[in-house]
Amino acid sequence: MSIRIQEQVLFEIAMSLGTSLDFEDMLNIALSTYLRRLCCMGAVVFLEEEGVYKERFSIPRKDDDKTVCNIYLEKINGCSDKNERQKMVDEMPLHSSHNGKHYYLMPLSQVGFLMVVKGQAPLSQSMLKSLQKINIKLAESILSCITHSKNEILNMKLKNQIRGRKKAEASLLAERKKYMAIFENSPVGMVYYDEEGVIRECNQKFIDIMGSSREKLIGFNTVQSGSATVREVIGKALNGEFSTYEGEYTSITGNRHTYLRTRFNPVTSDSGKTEVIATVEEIERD
Amino acid sequence: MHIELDRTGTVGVFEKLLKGLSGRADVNGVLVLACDANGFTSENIDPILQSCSVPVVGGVFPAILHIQEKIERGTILVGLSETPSVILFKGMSDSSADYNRLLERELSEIDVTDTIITLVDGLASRISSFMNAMFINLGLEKNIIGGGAGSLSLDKKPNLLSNEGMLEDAAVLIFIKSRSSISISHGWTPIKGPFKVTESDRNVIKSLDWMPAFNIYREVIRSHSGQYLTKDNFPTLSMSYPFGIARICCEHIVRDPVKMDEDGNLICVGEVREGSFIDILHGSSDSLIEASRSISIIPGTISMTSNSMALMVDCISRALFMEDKFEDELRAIMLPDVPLVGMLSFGEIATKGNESLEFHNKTTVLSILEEL
Repeated sequence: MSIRIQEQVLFEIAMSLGTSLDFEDMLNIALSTYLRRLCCMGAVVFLEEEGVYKERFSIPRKDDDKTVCNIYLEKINGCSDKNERQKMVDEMPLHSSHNGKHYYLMPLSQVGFLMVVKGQAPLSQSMLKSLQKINIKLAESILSCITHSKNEILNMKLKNQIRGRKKAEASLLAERKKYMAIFENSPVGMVYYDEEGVIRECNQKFIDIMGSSREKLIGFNTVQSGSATVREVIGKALNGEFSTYEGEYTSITGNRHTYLRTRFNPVTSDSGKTEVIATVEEIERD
Repeated sequence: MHIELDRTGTVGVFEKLLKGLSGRADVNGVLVLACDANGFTSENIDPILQSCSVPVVGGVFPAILHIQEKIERGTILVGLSETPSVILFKGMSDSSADYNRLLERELSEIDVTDTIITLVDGLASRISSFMNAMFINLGLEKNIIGGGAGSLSLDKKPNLLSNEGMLEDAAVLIFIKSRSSISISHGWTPIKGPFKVTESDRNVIKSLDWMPAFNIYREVIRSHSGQYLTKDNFPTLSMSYPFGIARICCEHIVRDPVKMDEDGNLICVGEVREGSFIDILHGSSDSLIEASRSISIIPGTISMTSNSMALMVDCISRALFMEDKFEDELRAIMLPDVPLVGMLSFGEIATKGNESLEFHNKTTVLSILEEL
């Protein structure tokens, strides 16, 4: 065999490596080209799984004679520690003959091992030497496929989390719309104070009772600017205590005078500052 | 094993012979090699095939071979003593078909025998992908022999025969319970190369060494033969100058440039992978005949019996190239005491001694089947 043909064959094998990120597809293309261009009969890829090397891919699929494959696998897994395994790798390629075929065990850097089966004549020393570089590229391609597959699993988990969060958000939004509808369409005035007693939201009924406008009411600090009685009652509610006010009231922002019954409901009843939702009814004096 | 030869090529005689063979107690399957000139069509053949009581498989070829004779009208029927397992594949040009998985699934349901006869639609565009799937699934331990069926008119039409009827763009695998031997030879030798295939699309070579493929090809032929290649003389001149893909173990795999398209691309029978290296080959009738003579041997590993048969798959383009001398090629295959049948095919399929499984062009393949 001429060096020229050897170079052509190695170039074609190199070009066939890493053409897919799918483990099976990549090895189907790469390893079949590898074997067919080298006139080899078959190959097995051994990869580590939970500390044990196992057969992960083979050509041909239908191969009944696993004698040498099992011997090599036993040899790989029989190493007592990393140093012993490294010593074995340093001695590779291992070569043995069985039933007129030549079996070669070669390292796949960082990922595992490759066993190649050749019928008829053995592989030449120069070819075996050249294959070392091809095998490094093959190992890198396998590593890329495995990493891609792992990333795909992680991405799938993340996608599930995002999907779950979006579902929760949608559910919350639906709930919010429902309560906003109740809030907006309530027959009584409703007003929402933050922890400082500042009006953050109110419905149209409340605006009407106050004779004011949304612009004037939103941001109005009741604790600072309200009447003394109202300040006292709302102060209680802001501290977590349910309170009511019934009596005459003149709106500060709308200057409307009326008779009100107001219930101040703390959002949380724990000690400390809380937001408050108040219901306001305009009633006839007894 | 029983061999029947019909020289009329008529549907009526075919029906009579098939019924006769399939009705025999010692016949459990029939292999059919038919000539394109018979004019077999789905309309006239399907009812006959569908009513056959045993597995029937075969193909339609430009010509068939019987002993040392090329027959252009007629049919050969081979009655098999053992029932063969048969796998049919449709969609041999379907770019989305995953032959690896299809074959893996089909093979899991049958007993894989020592010899597999493989017939494909020779005009299908994914034969090489199918060959690769066969290599991935079956390896090289089994003897695989076969070829491409089709018509010299290059019309796409049904050309494979099965119990379902005639099939187009298909492949059929016939699992024969017989030991066998396979020999391959072509007689073409490189005259120039290697050229890197810098652009190709399956069986179409577009550029070599980053130059238009036709320009390179024309120049090599001009310097070798002194003749200037044009679109008009392409079919006759290119016949002597096929491409060859070099291998480390044996002869080149030949690729036959059969046509040049409007853009000057060279259309071959069989795929030429982009990035591969090819040589330009040349041969003469004498070198081709000598190559055929070299495979005319019965290996000692095969025990000849009264049920032994030789199956020859020879490329139609060899016959066209050699013209009258093709009879000499047939005479060069000297196999006394063993009946020989065969076909002139569009591409030849063969495994070679634990080293390769390929789709060849312009090649002769001879298999000795020990016990049919």
